[in-house]
Amino acid sequence: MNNFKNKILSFLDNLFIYKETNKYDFFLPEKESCEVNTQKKDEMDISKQTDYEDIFPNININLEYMQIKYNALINSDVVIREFNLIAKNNEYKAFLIYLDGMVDSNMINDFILKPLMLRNSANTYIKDNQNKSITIVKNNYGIKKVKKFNLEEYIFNSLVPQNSIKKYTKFKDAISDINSGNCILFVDTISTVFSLEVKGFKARSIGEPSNEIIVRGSQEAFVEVIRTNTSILRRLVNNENLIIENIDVGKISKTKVAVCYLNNIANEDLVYEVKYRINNLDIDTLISSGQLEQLIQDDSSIFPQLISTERPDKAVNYLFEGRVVVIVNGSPYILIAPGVLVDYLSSPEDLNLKHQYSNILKLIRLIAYFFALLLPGLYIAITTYHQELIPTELLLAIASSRETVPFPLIFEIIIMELSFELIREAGLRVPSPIGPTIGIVGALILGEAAVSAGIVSPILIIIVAITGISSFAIPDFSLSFTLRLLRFVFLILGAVGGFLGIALGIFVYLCFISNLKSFGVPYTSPYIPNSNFTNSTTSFFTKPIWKREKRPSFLNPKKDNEEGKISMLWKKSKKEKE
Amino acid sequence: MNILKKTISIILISILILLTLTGCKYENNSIENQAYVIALGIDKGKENLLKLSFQFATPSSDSTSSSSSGSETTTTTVECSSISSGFNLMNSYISKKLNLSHCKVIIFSEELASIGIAEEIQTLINKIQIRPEASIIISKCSASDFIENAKPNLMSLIAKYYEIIVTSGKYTGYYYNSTLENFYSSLEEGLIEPTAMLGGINVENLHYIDKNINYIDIDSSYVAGTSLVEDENLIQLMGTAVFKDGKLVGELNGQETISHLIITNKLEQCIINIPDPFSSDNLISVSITLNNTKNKVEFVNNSPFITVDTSVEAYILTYSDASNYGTEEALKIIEKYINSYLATHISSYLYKTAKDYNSDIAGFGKKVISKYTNINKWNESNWSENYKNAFFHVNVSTDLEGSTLMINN
Amino acid sequence: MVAKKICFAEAIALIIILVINRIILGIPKSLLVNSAFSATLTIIFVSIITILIILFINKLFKRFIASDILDISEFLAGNLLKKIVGILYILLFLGISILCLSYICDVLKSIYFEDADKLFLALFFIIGIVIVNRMGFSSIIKSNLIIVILTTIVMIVMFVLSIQLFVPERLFPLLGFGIKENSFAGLTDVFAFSGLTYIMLIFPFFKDTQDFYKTNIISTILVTIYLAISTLCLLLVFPNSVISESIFNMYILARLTDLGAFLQNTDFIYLLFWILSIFSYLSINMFFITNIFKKITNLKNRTAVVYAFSLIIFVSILLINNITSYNFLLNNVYKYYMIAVIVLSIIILILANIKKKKNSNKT
Repeated sequence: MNNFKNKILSFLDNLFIYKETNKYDFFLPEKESCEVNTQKKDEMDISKQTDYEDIFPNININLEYMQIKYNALINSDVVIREFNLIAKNNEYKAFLIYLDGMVDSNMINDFILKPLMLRNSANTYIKDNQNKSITIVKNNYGIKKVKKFNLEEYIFNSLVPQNSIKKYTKFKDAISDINSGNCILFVDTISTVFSLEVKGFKARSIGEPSNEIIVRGSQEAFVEVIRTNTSILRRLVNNENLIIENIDVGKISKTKVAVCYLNNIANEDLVYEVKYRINNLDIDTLISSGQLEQLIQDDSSIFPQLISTERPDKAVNYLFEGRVVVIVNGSPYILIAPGVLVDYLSSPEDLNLKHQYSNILKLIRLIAYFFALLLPGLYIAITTYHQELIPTELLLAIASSRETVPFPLIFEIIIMELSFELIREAGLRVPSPIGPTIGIVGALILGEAAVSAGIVSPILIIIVAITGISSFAIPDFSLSFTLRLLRFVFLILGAVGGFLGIALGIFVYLCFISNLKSFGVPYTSPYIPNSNFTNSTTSFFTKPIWKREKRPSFLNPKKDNEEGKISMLWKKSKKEKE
Repeated sequence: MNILKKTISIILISILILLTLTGCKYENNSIENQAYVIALGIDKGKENLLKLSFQFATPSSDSTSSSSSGSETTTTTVECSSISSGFNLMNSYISKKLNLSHCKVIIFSEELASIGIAEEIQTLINKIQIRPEASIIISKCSASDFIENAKPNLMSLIAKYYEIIVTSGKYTGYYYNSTLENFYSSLEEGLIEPTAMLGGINVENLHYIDKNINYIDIDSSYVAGTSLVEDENLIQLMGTAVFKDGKLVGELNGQETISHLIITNKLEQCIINIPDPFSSDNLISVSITLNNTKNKVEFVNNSPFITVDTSVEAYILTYSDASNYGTEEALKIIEKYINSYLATHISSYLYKTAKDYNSDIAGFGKKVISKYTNINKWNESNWSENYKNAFFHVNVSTDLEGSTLMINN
Repeated sequence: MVAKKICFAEAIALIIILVINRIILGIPKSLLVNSAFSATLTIIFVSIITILIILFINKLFKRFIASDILDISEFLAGNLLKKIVGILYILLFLGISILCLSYICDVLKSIYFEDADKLFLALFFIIGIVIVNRMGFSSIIKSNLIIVILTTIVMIVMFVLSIQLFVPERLFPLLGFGIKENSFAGLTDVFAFSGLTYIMLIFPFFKDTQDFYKTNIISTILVTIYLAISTLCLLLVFPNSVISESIFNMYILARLTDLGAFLQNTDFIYLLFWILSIFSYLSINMFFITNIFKKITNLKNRTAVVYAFSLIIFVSILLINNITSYNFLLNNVYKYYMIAVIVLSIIILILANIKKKKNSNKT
C-alpha cells in the first residue's frame, strides 16, 4: 500500500512540481548583418598564413609547410611518406604526399617507391659520375666549365618509370594536383617537385540513389565504405580547405565516423559542438547513421533535426554553405547538421532547374504538406460540426452515400487509414515479381470492394487516397513519417472539437516548431528570427541564381558572400567593364 | 498484488479520459442524421397563428450509383404561434434534426406581409443557422402552395434551381434579388425602404390582360403569375413588392421594376418595346444597358424636388426588310423615342411610389442625409413622411449603337 | 539568458495581438453608434491623445533602462509597493483573460457547438495555454509573430472583399451626434488601446534597448490604422443600428464577404485565424501573470504556477452567466479599473523620476 502511494505521489510530483533540470542548451548566435564589415572579413581569410609561392630547396621547410597547409595532423586521409631516395648511389631525403582513397596504392608501391627506395641497377649506376668538363675558348684563354650533376633532370629522365610526370616550382600547382588525386614527390636540395599521375579513386561503380531519384542531376550515391565516400566528397569539393576528421565511436565496434567541413567557411563553434557530441557517447556498438542521428540530436521529438541523404551533390551544396557533414562507415546515408524546417521540403533538384520551375514544385509540396497533415481532420470536423461550409449538392451526395454505412464516421476513417498503412507496410516485403501490382491493385480493389459492400463511403476513399499521395510527395523520408503520425492526432482533435480542436492542434504545433532547435539553430530559420532570407541560398522559395549572393546568416559562416553583386559578368557590356 | 494495482489504476485512468470526451455528442450531429431545409414558407394560419412550410431535400437512397440522378424533396406544413416554436414542433415530427444552414429562400404570403413581417424578419436574422444570403420572396398565393409547385423543370437539383432562379433577374430586369440581410438593413436604417421579389404560381385562370395598356407594353405589365405562359403549374418570379414600415403596401409590375432598377443604378440588361417612329403599327425591340444615373434632391418650400439624370446604351433587336434603321437620322429619331418612352415610364413609377405608396424605395433618403451634419437633425427632418410631397423631373439620354449583326442602309 | 530576448518585429507583434483581439471581441459600442466618418474621427482623436501619453511615458522611461514597472515601484517605495502593483497587474490580466475566454466560449457555443458545455470548450483553450507555457517564452513569442502576420493578411483580404458591399452614404452625417458627444465618448475608450498595459512590462525583454521607444510609437500607429479600418468597414457595410445590436460584429461581416461564385461561405477561415489569435493572446497573458507572480514572490521558475492560474481562469468563467453581465463587467467595471491602473502606473513613473533626479542631484 505504501509502495502504491509512493508511486502515485512520485507520478504527481513529476507532473506538477518543478524540478531543476540541467537542460542542455547550445545556442548558435546569429550573425549580425553589418554591410560594412563583410568586405573586410572576406579579405581577412582565416587561413592567412604567409603564403609561399616557390618551393624551397630545403626539405624540412617544405615538409612543415605541406603539413600546415593540409592540416596533416588532423586530416586523416592525407598521407606523407618520408623515405630516402637513392640516386647515383647517394641517399637524398624525400617524401611523398598524397590523399588516401584518391590514388591507386599499387601503382605507388610498384612504380614510385620501389624504383626509388630499393637499390637497383638504375639508381646505383655511377659510371658517368665523372664531371664532364667543357673547355670554352674566350678571350684567348680557356675556361673550364664543370657540368654539375643535375639531380632533378636525372630523376625525371632516368629514375621514375611513371608514364606521366610534371615538374612544378610553385606550391599552388603542387597543391592543386594533390587535390585532384596525384602524388607529389619532394626531394631534398632541389626546388622542383614531381607530380606523378597515380589516380585510382573509384568512380561510377557507385550505384544510383535508390530513394532520392531526381530527373536532372548526377546519378551517384554514397556507398558503405567510408573511404569511397570521402573520395567522392574530395572530388566534388576540389579545395584544400575541406577537412575530414576521423573519430572512432563505440567501445567494441570502433566504427569510423568522419566529420567533414570547410575550414574557411564553417563556424568553429558549430564544428566543435558536433565533434563534442560525437566524442562523448558511451555506447558499445554503432552500426548505422540512423543510430548516430538519434544519439546526437538535440531533442527526442518526432521532428527530424539532421538531414540525411545519400546523394553527394546535396551534401556538397550544404558543405559549401557552411554546414557539417557526418559520415558513418557502413551506412550509405550521411548526416548533415544543422537542419531547419525548410530544408526538409526542398529536393536536390531545386538548384539545378530554373527557379520558376522549382518554385512551382515547392508550392505543390507545400500544399501536399497541408493535405497530408490536415485533410482527414478537416473532413471529419466539417461534416460533423460545420455543415454550412459545403455546397448543398455535395452535402446531399455525402449524406446519401453515408445512409447505408453502419459505422460512425470516425470509425470508418480509422479503418481506412489503418488499411492504407497496412498496404504500405506490406508492399515493402512482397517478393519482387508481384510487388508493384499488389500495391496499386490492392489499394484500388480494396477500396472498390469496400464501397460496394457498404462499409465505407466513396468520398472517404478519395480523401484517404489524396492524403496518402500527399505524404509521398514530401521529399524527406523522416518528415513524411512525422506527418503520418500527427495526422492521427489531428483526426482525433477534429472529431472531438471541430475547428476548435484543429486550431488547438495547429497552435501547439506552431509553438512546438518555434521551440525546437537543431544544433543551436532555431528550427524556423531563416524566417523567424529574421535572417537574410531575401538573398541567401537557403530559403523556402528558390531564388534566381544571380540573387543567391550570401550564405545563410543563421549558420554564422566565416565567409559571407557566395557570389559577387553581379555574378554574370559576361552580361556587362564591354564599355562598362573598362 | 502489483498486477492488480496496475490494472485498477489503468482502468481508473481510462475512465477519467473517457469522461472528458462527453462533450463530443456527435452522434446526433452526424451529417446523415440531419434534415436539410431548402425552402421555408410562412403563411397566416387561423386566428393569430402562423403556418410554416418546410421543403426538405431527401438524399436519394441508393448508394451504388455514383451520383444521385435527382434529389427528391418533401414538403411539410405545421401551424404554430411563433417561428421558433414551429421549428420545435417540426423537430418532434420528423425523424432527423432540423438544419437550416442551407435554406435558400424564405417565402412570405401576401396576406401575412400586409399585416407586417418586421418581427418575423428579426427573428430570422437572430437565428445564426440561416445564412444572410437567403432570398425573400412574397408570394401572391399561399406559401405552402408555392413551395409544393416549385419543381425544377430544366434541371434536377433543387438547391441549384433556387440559386439560379433568383439571379435571372439580372438579364431580364423584371425583378431583383433581395436578400435577408438587405431587407433587415433597410428596415432598420430608414434611408431606403425594403423591397422583395414577387412570386406566384402561373395558372390559367390568373392570366390577365389589362385592356387599358397599349399592346406594346403588355409584355412587361405582368406581375408574377399573370403572364401568358402555357405550361404545367410552375412558380414564376416577376415584379417587386413595396414595403413601408414593415408592411406590404403595394406591388410593381415588370415595367415599373425596370424603372426602379434604373433609378437605383442596379439595372444590368433588359429589353423593352418602343413604338416604331417610321410606321405607326409596328414596334421596335430595344436592348438597354445602364450607364449611370445621377439623382439630386433639393428642397423647395420644404418639399423635395428630385431630378433624375440617366444615360443608357441601347441596341436595336428588331430587324425586317421594311425597316430602315441604318442612317444616322433614323438612329437619332429612335433615340428620341426611347428617351421619351423611358422618361414617361420612370416618371409614372416615381409618382406612384410617392403619391400612392409614400414609400421611398428608390433610396433618395441617401442623398438627403448628406446635407445634414448631425444625426439628431436628420431624425427630426422626418424624411419618410415628407416623401409624398415630392416633385420629379426626369432626363434620359440614350446612346444607340445600332443593331447587333445586320443593318440596312 | 540569451534566448529570452525579443527583437523588434516580435515586440510589435506582441502589442498588435491585443488590438486584434479587441476587434474580435467587439469594438466598444460607444464608438460604433455614429456614422462611419465620425467614428473614424473619434478614433483618430483618441489615438492622438494616446500617442501623446506614450511619448510622455517614453520620456519617463529614459532614466530607467531595461526595468519594468515592478522594478520601478520597488525603487520608489520598497517591497510593499512592488507587491501591491504586482497584485493589481495580476488582477488586470486575470480579468481580461476571464472575460475574453467566457465571451469566446459563449460565441462558439451559439454558432457551432450547440450541444457542448461551455466548460468543455474552455478546456481546449486551457490545455493549449498550459502546454505552450511549459515550453518557454521564446516559443510563445515566435508563434505569436507567425499568427499575427497570418491574421493580418486574412483580415486585409476580408476588408478588401467587403468593399463591394460598401454604401458610401453611410459616411454621412459627417459629425454623427455632434462634436462634443464624439470626443467625450471616445476619451474613456482609451482602453481600446489597451497596449498601454503591456508597455509597462516588456522593457526588460528587449535585446536592443533603443528599440523600446520605437516599438511603442510604431505599434500605436499600427493599432490606430487597424481600428480605423475595421470601424470604417463595419460601419459602411451595416447601418449603425444593426451594429450596435449585434454581439459578434466581425462575424456578421465575415459571413457576407464572398468573391462571386468562387469563394462562398468562407467565414470558417476567418474564424480559424481568430481562434488562433485568441490562443496566442491568452498564452501571452498567462506568461505575464506568472512572470509578475515570480517576480513578487521570488520563485525560481514559473512553470509550476501555470497550472494554478489556469485553474483559476477555468473556474472563473462560470461567474459570467450571460451576455448582459459580460457587457456590464467589461464596460463599467473593467474599463475604469484599467484606466485606474494605467494612471497609477504613470504616477509611479513620475514620482520615481523625481526621486531619481533628487538622488542624482545629491550625489
